Amino acid sequence: MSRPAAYLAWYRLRATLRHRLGGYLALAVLVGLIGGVALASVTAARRTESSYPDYLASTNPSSLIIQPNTDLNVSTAAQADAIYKHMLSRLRHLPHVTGLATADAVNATMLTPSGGYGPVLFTQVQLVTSGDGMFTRQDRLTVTEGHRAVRADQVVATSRAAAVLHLHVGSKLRLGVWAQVGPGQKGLPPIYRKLDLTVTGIGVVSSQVVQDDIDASRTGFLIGTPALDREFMPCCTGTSYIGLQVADAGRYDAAIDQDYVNLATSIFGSGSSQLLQLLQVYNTSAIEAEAQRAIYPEAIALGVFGLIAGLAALIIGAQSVSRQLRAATDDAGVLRALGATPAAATADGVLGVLAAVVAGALLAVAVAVALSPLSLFGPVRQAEPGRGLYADATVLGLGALALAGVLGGVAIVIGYRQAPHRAAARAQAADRGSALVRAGLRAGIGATGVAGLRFALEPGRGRTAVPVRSVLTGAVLAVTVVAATLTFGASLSYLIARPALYGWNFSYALYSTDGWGPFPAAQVTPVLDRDKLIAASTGVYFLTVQINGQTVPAILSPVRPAIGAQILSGRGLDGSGDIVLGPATLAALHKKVGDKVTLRLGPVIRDKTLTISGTAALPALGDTLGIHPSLSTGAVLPLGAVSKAALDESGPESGPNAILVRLRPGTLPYGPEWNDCAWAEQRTSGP
Amino acid sequence: MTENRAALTMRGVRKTFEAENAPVRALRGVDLTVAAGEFAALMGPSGCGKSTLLNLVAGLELADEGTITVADEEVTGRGEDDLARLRRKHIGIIFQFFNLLEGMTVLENVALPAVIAGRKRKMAETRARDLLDLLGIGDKAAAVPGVLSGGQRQRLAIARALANEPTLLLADEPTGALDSDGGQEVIELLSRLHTGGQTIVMVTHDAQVAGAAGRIVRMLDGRIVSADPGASTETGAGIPVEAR
Repeated sequence: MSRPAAYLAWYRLRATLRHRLGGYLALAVLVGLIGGVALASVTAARRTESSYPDYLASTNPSSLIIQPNTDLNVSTAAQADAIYKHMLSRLRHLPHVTGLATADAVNATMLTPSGGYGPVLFTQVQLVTSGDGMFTRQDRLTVTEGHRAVRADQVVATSRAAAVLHLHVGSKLRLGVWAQVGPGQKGLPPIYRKLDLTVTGIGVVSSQVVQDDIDASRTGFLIGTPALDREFMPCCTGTSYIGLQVADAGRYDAAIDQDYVNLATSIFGSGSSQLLQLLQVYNTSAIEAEAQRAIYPEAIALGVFGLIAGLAALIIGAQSVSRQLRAATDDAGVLRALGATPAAATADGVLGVLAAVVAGALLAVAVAVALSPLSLFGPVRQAEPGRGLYADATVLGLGALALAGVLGGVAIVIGYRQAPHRAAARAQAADRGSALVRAGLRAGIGATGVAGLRFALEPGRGRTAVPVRSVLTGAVLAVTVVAATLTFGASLSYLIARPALYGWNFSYALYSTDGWGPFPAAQVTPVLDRDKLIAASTGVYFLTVQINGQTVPAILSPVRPAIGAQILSGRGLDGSGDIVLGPATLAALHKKVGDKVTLRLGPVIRDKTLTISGTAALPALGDTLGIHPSLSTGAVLPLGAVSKAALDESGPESGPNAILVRLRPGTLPYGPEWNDCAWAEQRTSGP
Repeated sequence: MTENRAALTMRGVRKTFEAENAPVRALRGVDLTVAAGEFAALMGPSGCGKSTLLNLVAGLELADEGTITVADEEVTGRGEDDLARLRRKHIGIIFQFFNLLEGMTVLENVALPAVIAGRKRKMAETRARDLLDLLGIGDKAAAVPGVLSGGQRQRLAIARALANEPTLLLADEPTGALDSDGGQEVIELLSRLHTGGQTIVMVTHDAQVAGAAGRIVRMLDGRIVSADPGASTETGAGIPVEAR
């Protein structure tokens, strides 16, 4: 732009600013608000997508959580403690281990007002303590309300524990603690010591950030201080959690797996019947991957919303720019008559619009930053300690540039096209009318038809001009979006109304001890078989296995089960050499139906080769400690993949972790017949 | 008086517009010469091509055929930037509906052509103030055009047209939107300008208004049918060019 043109534009802008200010403000506010929402959404998408890894990294997480079997078949607590310490020492010196911290669950129960046994703190909530930095140095606890516990009589409750026990900051708890007992103990042991605790805060630990209903049921913790740990370790602790940080970014590979097998064999011997639960290894990177799978759709949705809002900001902004520049065409015509060059006449209208667009882009950045406290979605939100303003320089910078660049470009193009001499030439051409109108005239469609076509297709002139093309395009886009949204909504409703399509082809899943305890099959199966309301039932086990070196959550099921996975391709389990995979797991393994895979589970399954018989939509079922199958991830294994000895390790109490039940057609869930249901009584009084 | 030189020369000028049903031949070979200092009125019925002729002279539209010369500078065959320069230097235009810029004050409207011509704001506004005083609306300098009467608005438009001391003043129905008093006021003003040496080409279909001009050019169906010498072309008793 030449200097005189710039000077004229500046002179005009200065002189007419008050007159034009309303239009410029409207443009800046429109771009700022809608663009701000777009930038905030894209920021939220990126922030949400990276939230779990970021949060996890901030907690200095363990790569593996090991939960050793507590049933060590020893007669004294001292013997158990010695084995435990020996195992810790061996673990600490494994070549791949770079860090180790432990937490111990105290044998505790809620006390009734009269001092008797209340709910035992074991399955739903545990009282845990650590003397070596678990929850403070490693797997740090994030306190979201209140403050950390400091004294021996203070605890922080995880949100799950707070929900189960109805706790809040300041709540008082009266607990009873019992000491380790020998194998001959019948019933509940006597209270060793009574304990009064105060809840100083509510918090979350990384393994308990909620992803879905299964994760929501994970055991809650009352987290005590090291002082409490010193009081009750080792006399009164049961379950232990060992957090290991391992080299190579925490990858749980075959070498590490072999280390644990060697360790278990050296401590317990190879013929032990305790193998299945000897070392429960939970792979943090697999849990992270599962969390990411849960978070990803939310991040995608936010991103798509951001893109739609961005597109809306650009379309609405472009229309506003167009309207303002069209409204200025009369002035441009006058300027031309007064001797302004095309560049000067164009600059006159465009300069102010460009300034408004830049102001709008800056306002959008401000709006996005102002909305940033709301920009973290998903499960990590509850654990986010910094809820203040947040700025994603990449999104805000590129977004503002895109808004200003695209709308500025639109302004320049429209300004160029609206330059008075071009507009005059176009107006003359427009006098010929739209080609469609002329075609209509030639076809003799009549006056009303021609008038209709004119209204629809001819923009008119000057201040009364209508941007017919962009309105038509906008209308087409709007109808497309509405149709796509309705179609998506209808498809989603259809899917939700048919649980079998997403793997739930049964009525209920009966769980034993949050999915990791056994249903005593000998007692439960006859009860279920007798029930007239039940059409079919199938017992399943939950495992986390290594398939070709990848950690995969699995369901152990009988072959040709009464209730099996919803097969998507191929066939279900027909023999003990088959395996069914979720489509995403199949893709991650780079396999296809009919290929073979190698299965491994610590000392329980040693490099067993199975044939992929099909793919299935898997239900979100599993125990509440580790990872679990969900829709397209996971595997279904035949019972024969695990030795009977391992399955029967709990003796007469052995059985599946869950029983899938399908009711007869017409049976209402929780209907009046439920009260008469024999197995419902069994369920309430069951394990 | 500079009547020896031609301020405007048109030779064989033709212009056709495309229209929905059939092309409209607005000018069908126009020859016209207006001497410097002359006040010519173009008369004719609506649609005869008067305004088209004015637009072609101003370079706002391009002739299909023929040549147009203003103050010895060819208008035809030039690019838009050259035409803009020519308009700044030689042409002032007065529109029937004033075409004032409503977002600007009276003073800024008048100063604008000088700013477009590259003069500094202060210098342009000083000249504008002088012109407004000369045309009797100096007290309205800070007002916006919307508050002026019709006559005052047209005087403002005339002041703006004179801002760059044009060789040729083109007036398209300058009284068409005014009542009789306002029209009379404008005609008297144009007469004074002409008397001061200003070359004026005025389009009108009002015979009384045309009577103020020194020469009446009659048009019909895109052609000039007569170019009467008309009344006086004397100058000296009005607003002299150098006074403006």
